[in-house]
Amino acid sequence: MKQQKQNKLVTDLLDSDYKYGFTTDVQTDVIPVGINEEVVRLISAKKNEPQWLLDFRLRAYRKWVTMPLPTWAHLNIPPIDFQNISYYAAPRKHRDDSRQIDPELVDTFNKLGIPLEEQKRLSGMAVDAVMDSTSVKTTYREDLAKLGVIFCSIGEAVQHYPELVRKYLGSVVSYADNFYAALNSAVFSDGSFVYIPKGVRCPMELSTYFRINAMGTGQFERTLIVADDDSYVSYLEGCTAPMRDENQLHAAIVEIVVLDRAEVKYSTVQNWYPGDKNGKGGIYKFVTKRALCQGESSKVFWTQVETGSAITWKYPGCVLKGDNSVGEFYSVAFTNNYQQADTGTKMIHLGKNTRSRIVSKGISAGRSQNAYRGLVKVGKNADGARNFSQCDSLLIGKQCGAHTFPVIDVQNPTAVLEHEASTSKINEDQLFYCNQRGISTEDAVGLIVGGFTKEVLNKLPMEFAVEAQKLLQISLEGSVG
Amino acid sequence: MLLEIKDLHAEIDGKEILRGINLCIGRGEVHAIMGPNGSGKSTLSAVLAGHPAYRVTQGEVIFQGKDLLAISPEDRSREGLFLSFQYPIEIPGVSMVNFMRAAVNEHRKYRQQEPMSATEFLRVMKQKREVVQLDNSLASRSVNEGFSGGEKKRNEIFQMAMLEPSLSILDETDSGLDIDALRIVSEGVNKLKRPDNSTIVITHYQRLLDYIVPDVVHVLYKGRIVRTAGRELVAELEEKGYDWIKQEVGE
Amino acid sequence: MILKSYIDLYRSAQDRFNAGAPDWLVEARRGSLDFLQQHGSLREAAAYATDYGMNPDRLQLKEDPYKLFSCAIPEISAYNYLVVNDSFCIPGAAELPQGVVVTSLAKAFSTHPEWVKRYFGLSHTDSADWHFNQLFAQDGLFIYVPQGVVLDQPVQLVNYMYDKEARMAVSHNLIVVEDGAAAQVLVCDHAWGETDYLSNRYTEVYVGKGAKYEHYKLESTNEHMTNISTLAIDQQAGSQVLTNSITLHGGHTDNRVQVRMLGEGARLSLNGLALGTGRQRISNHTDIRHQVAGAMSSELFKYLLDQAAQGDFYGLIRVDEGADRTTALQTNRNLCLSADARMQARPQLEIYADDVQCNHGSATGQLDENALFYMQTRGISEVEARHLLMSAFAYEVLNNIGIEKVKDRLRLMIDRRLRGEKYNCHACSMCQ
Repeated sequence: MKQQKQNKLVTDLLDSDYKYGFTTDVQTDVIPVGINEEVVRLISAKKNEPQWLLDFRLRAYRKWVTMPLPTWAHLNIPPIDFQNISYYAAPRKHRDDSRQIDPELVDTFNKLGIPLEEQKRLSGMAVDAVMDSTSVKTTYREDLAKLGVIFCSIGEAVQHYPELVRKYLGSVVSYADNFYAALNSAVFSDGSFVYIPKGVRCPMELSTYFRINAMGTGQFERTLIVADDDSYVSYLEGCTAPMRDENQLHAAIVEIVVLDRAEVKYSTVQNWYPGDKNGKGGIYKFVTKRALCQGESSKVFWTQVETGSAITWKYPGCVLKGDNSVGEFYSVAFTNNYQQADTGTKMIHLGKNTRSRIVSKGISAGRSQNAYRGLVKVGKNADGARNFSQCDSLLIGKQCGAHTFPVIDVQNPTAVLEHEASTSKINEDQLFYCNQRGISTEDAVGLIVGGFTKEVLNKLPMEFAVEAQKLLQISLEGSVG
Repeated sequence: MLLEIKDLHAEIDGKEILRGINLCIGRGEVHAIMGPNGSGKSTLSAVLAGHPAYRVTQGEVIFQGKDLLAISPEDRSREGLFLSFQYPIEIPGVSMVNFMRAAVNEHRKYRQQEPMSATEFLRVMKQKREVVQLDNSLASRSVNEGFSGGEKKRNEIFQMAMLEPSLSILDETDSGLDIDALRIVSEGVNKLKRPDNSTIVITHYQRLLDYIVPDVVHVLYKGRIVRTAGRELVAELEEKGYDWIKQEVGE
Repeated sequence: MILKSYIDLYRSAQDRFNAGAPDWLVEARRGSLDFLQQHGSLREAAAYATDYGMNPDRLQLKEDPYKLFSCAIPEISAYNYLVVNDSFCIPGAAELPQGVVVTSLAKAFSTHPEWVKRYFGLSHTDSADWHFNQLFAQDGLFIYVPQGVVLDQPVQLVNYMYDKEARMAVSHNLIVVEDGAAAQVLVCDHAWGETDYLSNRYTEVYVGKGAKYEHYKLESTNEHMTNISTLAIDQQAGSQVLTNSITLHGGHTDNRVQVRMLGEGARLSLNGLALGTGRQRISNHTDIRHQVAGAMSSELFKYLLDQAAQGDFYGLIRVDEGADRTTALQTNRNLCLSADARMQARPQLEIYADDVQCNHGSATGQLDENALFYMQTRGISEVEARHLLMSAFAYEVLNNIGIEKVKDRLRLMIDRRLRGEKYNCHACSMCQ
């Protein structure tokens, strides 16, 4: 009896729909498929970039062509034809008024719940909306400018704040860091740039929404956040894409530089199209995210809720260089159908009395594979380093997999590290207890998953927590009658 | 004089907790130190035992004619100072027998005595266990691991019996004890009383002092001893609480 | 490059290596040769670069080795066998229970050809280490315990590395414990003098239905030793296996244990302890595969690293699809005692079934400061308090050892090791 219910639950999970799968009919400027030095030059020219940035892209491109495709992840990645992707797509602006945004676009973001009109704006949240490769509009910019906060697309930042961009771009994630980082460094199109000046607490959440729309394109956004001494910012990132049968490539870089006593919170709700229930289509996501806690007592908090993408390859990390710096990572990764996720974090302790904390919750359903991969490294000089890691996996159904691959590397005798992991299926006693109290199995699973992920969702800013909860609900929706 | 504390100041993490303690304890005396939470009672016991987290910034402590602050925690123990911990530490994997045997023999070595033979040690242990009705199974388990609150406190008094200190500091020994355990523990302490050894009882409440009757009572407040009197002070504190003391010292 | 010189060596002397080997093995070695030529990646490949001597002609010592070396753990009654370098030394007659065979693998090729053929290579996975061993191993220990027979005493196998010049020993042990039988094997590794040694040993164990097997490996060699060993165990339904790998002294130790849970109700307890000082490198790599439902494994590995010692723990638990009701627990605890010590831990779970209970925990740190202080307040010196805590930490790994005398002996050896005393086997004429 129970077995049947479980199976029903699994079947229904397989059938849950992707709600953001519409496309937008706007004219798009797409360059021909393929990649070579000319394409890199073309992207740079389209964006009217200075020579140093073109040189940076070319160095990255020349490195990329020498690098082998990484194969160490617990992922089954179909061959990707890098010559069959367009590396630049931008919504075309109306010629008569370049300041006006195409109403179709406004509509798209409204459908996603992201109003670009400032009169309809979300309370207390500034938004940078990125469609395909280009930043569409950044709201609230003037209000932020009064405080000296810079929040704009990275393309604009290159034009208006070249010195800042030049100083920090590639300083956390080098163009040679890995295969996808090199590719991104060569062809990155847009993304957000944030600078918080000394002593400023950014009064509102900064948010970027990424949307892939055009067919046959890849998205290669790049985000750079610099928090100067004693500053604070909370940054949110959301992602959706239309339903398409083809796989689309997404290879992003996020770099965060945190100076003395500054604090950055970076939250992601990732809901790229995961493919259909047979594993067709979906986004391939290869992302390099890293924060450098350069200053003393600096802090970084990564929080991610990953429910989308056919393939997720992502390890937001912290380099704890400043003494007394703190890095924390909270993650919920939900995979269903044929989704594959290999995600986790790296905590590199270099400074003295540095602390890190990792809480990872993986939920696997359908035929999905969900892996946590983590590195905690304590360098020779990192006296007094502390780490606590907890990685729990929940399995729903018999054909999915949950894996845990942590690496702990200690080179300092004063370090204290603890790692705990557990893997189990949904507890039948808990389900029965709920049933006995009159709660349906579907609701009970929702409750249990909610409890399982609570510690992480609580770390999200309010608006995002609600959205993330909704996302998880959608995944579990209509599961049992 | 067994113990003499002069103008003792101590801090932890840069925060001053003890701000000039003066206290004299003669041989054979029982002193009670009372005071509201956070007044520095446990800090005083930790400093006397030599806890490395505390830093003495000023003052001196003379114990049996020696500069107590200049010697290591283990030598303080061997000199006859015993601390019954408020929260006894669990040491997984180290059996009570091995632990106590190491302690007893280190004490003997310090006094230039031969180590105790295994049979003699077991005999003494059996005898001392009876003081606090600690059964044999506890003695064969790891130090304090899986002990109930009452068992831990009885275990502390058992160790006191084994080491025969000249000064015992009982830090909140009554906390977490039910009435039977409290009786067993206090009777144990009273059985161990000799004319030449002394006891400091640190407590928040009167009830332990109904069993272990003090000669002198001190009230510690904000890191200083603000009042010293005979045992009648206990009843007064129980009746009026600590507020009148706070008022008296001008808070 | 390094491997190529070994391939060439084999080619030029294959008649000598194959002397006495049965035809099926000679044939299998052809396959191994092909494999190595195509996928030549050995574990610890750099260790093979030294120009070691080998002994393809099986030259024997002139004296009776049982008089030269004796390293019995005192007071235990055991069936004692000695392997000097990689040559099994046939002892005088011992009275074994009915039907039990303990002999050299080289001899078993001719005396028990069917049994050897049936079980040899059952556990193997296509790895370069397996094929290297198959190519060069000419001898080792062969144990056969027939159905339902309980071996009344442990078998103690002492491996002695003994040469005046750099020496490599490649050996293969084959242990068969049939349905309902029981056996205990204690393997001790020692090395003589200041010669560079490399030992490459592959031990295959077949544990039948409801059978019981215990395997203890104790290494007390020296800094000139590179000890590469694989213990491959296949467990049938209802079998119980306990292993414990203890590394006290050594140079570079690389222990691999791989276990396949092939039958329902199989139970496994996998343990290890590494005490490292100097420039010791100790690696324990465990690989437990739950292939069927309803089996249970638990794992405990501890490291105590001082000076410039390096520890590496890699523990993989894989639960295959359909292996429901699996319980797998893994615990790894490490103490780093000096600034130059380095610990790497990689506890890995790969789970493809949903009805499972799998946990792992790994912690790396120092001795508990509160416990140290507590002991000091009882008059125990800091040095002694540290020693008590370290011993307690280490002893936990010994808890489930089934042979009391071995446990007592190991406690003593660990105690001395932690006090920094070089342990010498008391009964061993070579160490004194």
